[in-house]
Amino acid sequence: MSKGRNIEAQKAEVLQGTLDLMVLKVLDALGPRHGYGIARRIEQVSDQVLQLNEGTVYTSLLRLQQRGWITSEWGTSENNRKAKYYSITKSGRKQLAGETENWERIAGVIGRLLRLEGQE
Amino acid sequence: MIHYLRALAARIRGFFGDRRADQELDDEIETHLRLLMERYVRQGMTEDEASQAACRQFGNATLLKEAHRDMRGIRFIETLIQDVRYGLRMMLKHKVFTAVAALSLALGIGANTAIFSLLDALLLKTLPVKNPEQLVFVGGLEYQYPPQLDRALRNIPIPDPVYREMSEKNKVFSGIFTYNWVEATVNDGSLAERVSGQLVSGNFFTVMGVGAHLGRIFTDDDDRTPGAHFVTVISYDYWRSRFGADPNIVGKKISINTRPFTIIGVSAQGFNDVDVGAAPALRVPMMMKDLMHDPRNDTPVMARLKPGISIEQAQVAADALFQSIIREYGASSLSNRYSNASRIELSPAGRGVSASELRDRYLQPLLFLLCLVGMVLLIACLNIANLLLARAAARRKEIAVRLAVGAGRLRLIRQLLTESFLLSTLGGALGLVFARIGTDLLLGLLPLTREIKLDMRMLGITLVVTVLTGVLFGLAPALQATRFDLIPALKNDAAGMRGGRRKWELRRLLVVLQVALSLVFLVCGGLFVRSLQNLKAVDLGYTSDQIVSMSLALGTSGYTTDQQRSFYQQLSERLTALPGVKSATYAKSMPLEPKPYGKEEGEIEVPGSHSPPNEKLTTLMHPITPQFFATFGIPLLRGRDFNWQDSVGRIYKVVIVNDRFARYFFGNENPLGKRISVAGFEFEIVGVVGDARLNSLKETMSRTVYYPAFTALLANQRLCVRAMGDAGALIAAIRNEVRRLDPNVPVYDIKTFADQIDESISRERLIALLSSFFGLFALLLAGLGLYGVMAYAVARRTREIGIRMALGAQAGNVLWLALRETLLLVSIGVAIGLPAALAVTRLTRGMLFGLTENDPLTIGLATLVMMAIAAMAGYLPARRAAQVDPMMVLRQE
Repeated sequence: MSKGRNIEAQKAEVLQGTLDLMVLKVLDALGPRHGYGIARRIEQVSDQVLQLNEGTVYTSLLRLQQRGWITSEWGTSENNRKAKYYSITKSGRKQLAGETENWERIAGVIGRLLRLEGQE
Repeated sequence: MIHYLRALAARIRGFFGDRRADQELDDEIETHLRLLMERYVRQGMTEDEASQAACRQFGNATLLKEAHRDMRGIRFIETLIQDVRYGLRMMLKHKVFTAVAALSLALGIGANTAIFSLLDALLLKTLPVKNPEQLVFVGGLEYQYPPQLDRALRNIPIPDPVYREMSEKNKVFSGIFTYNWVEATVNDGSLAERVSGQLVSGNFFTVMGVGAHLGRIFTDDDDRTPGAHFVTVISYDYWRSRFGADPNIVGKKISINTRPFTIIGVSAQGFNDVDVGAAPALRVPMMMKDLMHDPRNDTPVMARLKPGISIEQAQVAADALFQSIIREYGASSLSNRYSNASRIELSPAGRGVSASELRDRYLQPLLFLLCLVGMVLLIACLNIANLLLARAAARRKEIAVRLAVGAGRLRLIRQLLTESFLLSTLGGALGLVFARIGTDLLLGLLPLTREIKLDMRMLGITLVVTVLTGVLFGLAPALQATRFDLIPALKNDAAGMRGGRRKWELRRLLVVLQVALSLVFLVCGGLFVRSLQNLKAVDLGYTSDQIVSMSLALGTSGYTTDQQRSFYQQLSERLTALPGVKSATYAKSMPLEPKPYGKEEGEIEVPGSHSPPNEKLTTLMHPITPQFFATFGIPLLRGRDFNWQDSVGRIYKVVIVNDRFARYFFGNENPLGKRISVAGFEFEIVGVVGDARLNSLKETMSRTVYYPAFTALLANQRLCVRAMGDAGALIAAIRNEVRRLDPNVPVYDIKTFADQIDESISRERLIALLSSFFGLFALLLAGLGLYGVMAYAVARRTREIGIRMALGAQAGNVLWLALRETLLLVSIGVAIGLPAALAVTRLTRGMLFGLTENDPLTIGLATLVMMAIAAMAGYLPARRAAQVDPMMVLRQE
């Protein structure tokens, strides 16, 4: 148990608002996925660094859906269960492009800022 | 923005598809957990461990569901329901507050809507026809003798030959038509009844622009040959009320004045008449006028202007045409009335005409009432504002507690706004009911034959005004209340509210205004009530009790004039023989009934008596039938009553004069047997009777001459019967006697004379009733407002009062301290209210009887009543202040 908690402590919290971006990107890159699939993909890419309550993926999915950036339809999952498959829409792709650019710009600025401090 | 709208749309969808969305989310979570579990089991965990790990990895599912519901918008609705529920609970808890607020709102909304609807129907509404602005009334203009007075008689009907010439030769009208009102006896085989009808030229409907609801309307071909067109178009309302909206009505035959007519159509819904007060049940072609017993050879004429022609242009052209027609015919061949007519006058008729003077009679009272109810609305709004401010002050602590336990400011404001809205809605709903009742009430008090629909625009406007007041004053305290420091408010400290002083001033201002407006109301109400009392106290000179009257339509039942006289005579004899009947007589119009052509007056010459220079002596003239004086209880002082022989032929022989007449001309001499000349005819005086006011309650007793109604006047008389006991009990017996004489004579419009006298002062009673009611209501509201403000002021100053008393102030001093404020407010209110009242009462000039509009007694009394109520409203809190126990107050510190 104590070992588990240690691992948890090392994980970084997911930044507010970045989850939406990740979900969009996953759907853009991999095509239609259900919530579980998206969670697995994020886990895989992040190399278990990000701490994610997988339930929050669904909040993100609902938010994206309400904005019209993704759509959903029912299908069957790997274990033959009813599952909702989400896919990115045209306006979702546009949004993703914009957000990605934005993110990279900010990340660049923050990176430069941090390096600057390191030099002092 | 787009995103926001999308989210809103999703929220709305979310609310309605909520169950399904919940279920779907459950399914998704379930699938997710299963998949996680299976993975952990594959990695070698036991089922239990896997399930636990899956749950941990997923996070709090309940919280997730709640967040989703929130996002889908369900919370928004839930909060609203919560607010409404809480608001309703608050309303129920403060019943008096709710009742006073909602009632004043309802009165404001209802009264304004009702009176405006009526005013609109009478004055403002255009006729429901195409292009009503093109319609003009074509009237003759005659200068009355003596010409130097220059008083013009307007809107005289046009003689038929002139109408015909004009309709052929004019170039400015696209159509010109004529019409005339008649009464007709309708019999559909089962029931005979009297209805109001109209004779119209064949193009009436087409020029007017009114279509048919069923069947067809008249064409020119329906109006060609005198006495040959047995067709009728009935009105929509008559079709519904009499024929139960029978879809197969077209082609059906009914009997009109005992002749069979075919119903060829039902006129369009919504169109009543060109006259604002009338609603003819059926229309027949003008060529049938003989059958309708319409002896007139001149009729009202209306026309439609050609497009692009102004009324001034048309006026010039029509008048020129009229002059040439007059020259061509020679004035002598036209009807007498027209010989002096100098010109044609066109007046706009798009809003209809008012033949019965309904507009003139009720314009001033209705405008005045609208002015009053406008003030009622103002008072209602002031009152609501005051109440809401007071309540916000009272709820300071509650709001502080809610803020302290973490309620959001927006949430609180929303809560308070919801309450204001609820109150306004309640007031509005009640107002709608009040408006409905008010309109019916007004209609019952006015001589109108048509229905009035509620004016939705006015209802909307008043609703918006009141709701806005509610929101505005609900919002102000809400904003203020959520801005103050929590700690002092929780500690129940009076100084805790920032901005409290300013609001306090606002409330005082509101109360002062309320006092001022109430005073205006009290003065108006007082004036009208006293005026009504004066009217009721008028000595008529005759009795109003135990008399019942009814109309008999002999003229339209096929009687010749000689037959009519003998019918009346026989009926009189039979009725007088009935047990319980004292006497019976006939009258063209009842005493006090408005006369369509004004009162009859004639110049008088009495041999031996000299009229004063520069003045022609005149006398009122009344045509009557035998037994008139006995029936109405006017004492016969000397000589004899008329008998039926007196009214044989057209030559006047005898008259009866009233006491005033006899004294003026003959002093103490015996006037019997004297010969006089009235309006150019020679008479012998055969009797003297007591003075009586027959034309109006307001007239002064004047010289009066009674002459026997000659035969031409006998058609369509009202039968008046004086009973020994209850007149109502005789009605069945009277009907029975009429039926035994001739079953085809309709008996209708049965009234007791007392009711009719009441009717004659309906206008005055209506205004007295409404203005005194509103006055009392305003007084009550002002009293409540004053009380609220003073109670609050005393509560705030309790500590100060306690200290003063501890330092030796007497109860009397404290009482005065508290009362002083009240008296100051009231004095300011009265100082504003008195000039305002004087300004408003100037509008009542001509509507009062027996007192002037600035009657000092009424104004003094109203001020006194206002002061007394204010003193009472101020005294109660003041006494509470005087009873403060200084020890208690000081210990509370």
